[in-house]
Amino acid sequence: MNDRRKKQRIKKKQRVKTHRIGQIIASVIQFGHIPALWTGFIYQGALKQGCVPILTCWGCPLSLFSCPMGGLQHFFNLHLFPFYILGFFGAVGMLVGRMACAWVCPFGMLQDLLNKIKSVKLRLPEWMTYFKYAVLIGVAGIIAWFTMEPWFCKLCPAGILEAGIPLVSVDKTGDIRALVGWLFWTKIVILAGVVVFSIMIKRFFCRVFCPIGAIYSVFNRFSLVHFELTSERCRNTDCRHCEKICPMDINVYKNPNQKECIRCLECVYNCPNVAVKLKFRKKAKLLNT
Amino acid sequence: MKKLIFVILLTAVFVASIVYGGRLGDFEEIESVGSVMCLSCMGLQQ
Repeated sequence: MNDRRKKQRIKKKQRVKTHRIGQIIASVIQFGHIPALWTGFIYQGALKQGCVPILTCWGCPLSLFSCPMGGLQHFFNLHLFPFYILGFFGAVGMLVGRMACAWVCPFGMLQDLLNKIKSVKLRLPEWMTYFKYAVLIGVAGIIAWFTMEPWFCKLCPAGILEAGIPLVSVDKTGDIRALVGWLFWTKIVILAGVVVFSIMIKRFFCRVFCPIGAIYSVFNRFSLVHFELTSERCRNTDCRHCEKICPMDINVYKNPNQKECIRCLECVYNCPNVAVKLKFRKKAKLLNT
Repeated sequence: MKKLIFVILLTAVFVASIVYGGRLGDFEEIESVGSVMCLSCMGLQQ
């Protein structure tokens, strides 16, 4: 076991967070419409038929793919059943659960990086993590259906960051700037709030507001990709190393497949006892504490 | 094993939903709405 621990420590020193590499590659692909840098026009092509499995703004000039949450609300606005979008969310959720949040989401990466800034660190009360279900059902569902307006998009901080601010900034004609009003400034305030709270609280937006995270979190218990905790190996539950390094503040040693787990694999790589393992569809052994 | 079958079956249902949505024209609908500047996303008002 001592040799294993030594190896683990050496591995830890040498290792770059693998999900960070995934986030960077995914961001480069997602924001790959390079001609927008000199034309300022958004991408219009067949790739927009495809959705990315995370929160991203399809109004961003660099964006090559569509936002599934924007798509979901669009179908609700038209009072149509969103077969494609719900099927997409369901298929991704059944296969990997919330893994896309850790490995693909650029807005999640932004929050991860913001949380590295030295400041007072706060712990989010668990009850607040249920608020995202209200956002999903209320704002992106019921309100979008009845008002026929994509109200989550209207309030989404990713939209103002990826589309609103860049397009207003490079607007040469002044046509876009003329449309700036109270909604734009409301979104700026929301973005500023998310930035400030993300510095103090790990993945604040993902845990409290993200409706896509809310959908995937339902699938975490059933997904094909699964964590298994070997209770015999996790002898010292006071070490709580998995909890300290977890970007979602999860008590991995209690249940590694909680709704908030984004499968970043940091606990798998860093557990000093190698107690957490990634598995494909096996019932996890839970340690009762 | 039962859980694996459950996962596979449910995944198949969701994939079928994507295919059915595609046949109804969902892909083209998403492309058309994603190819115009989304004022709501940008926080702009007309």
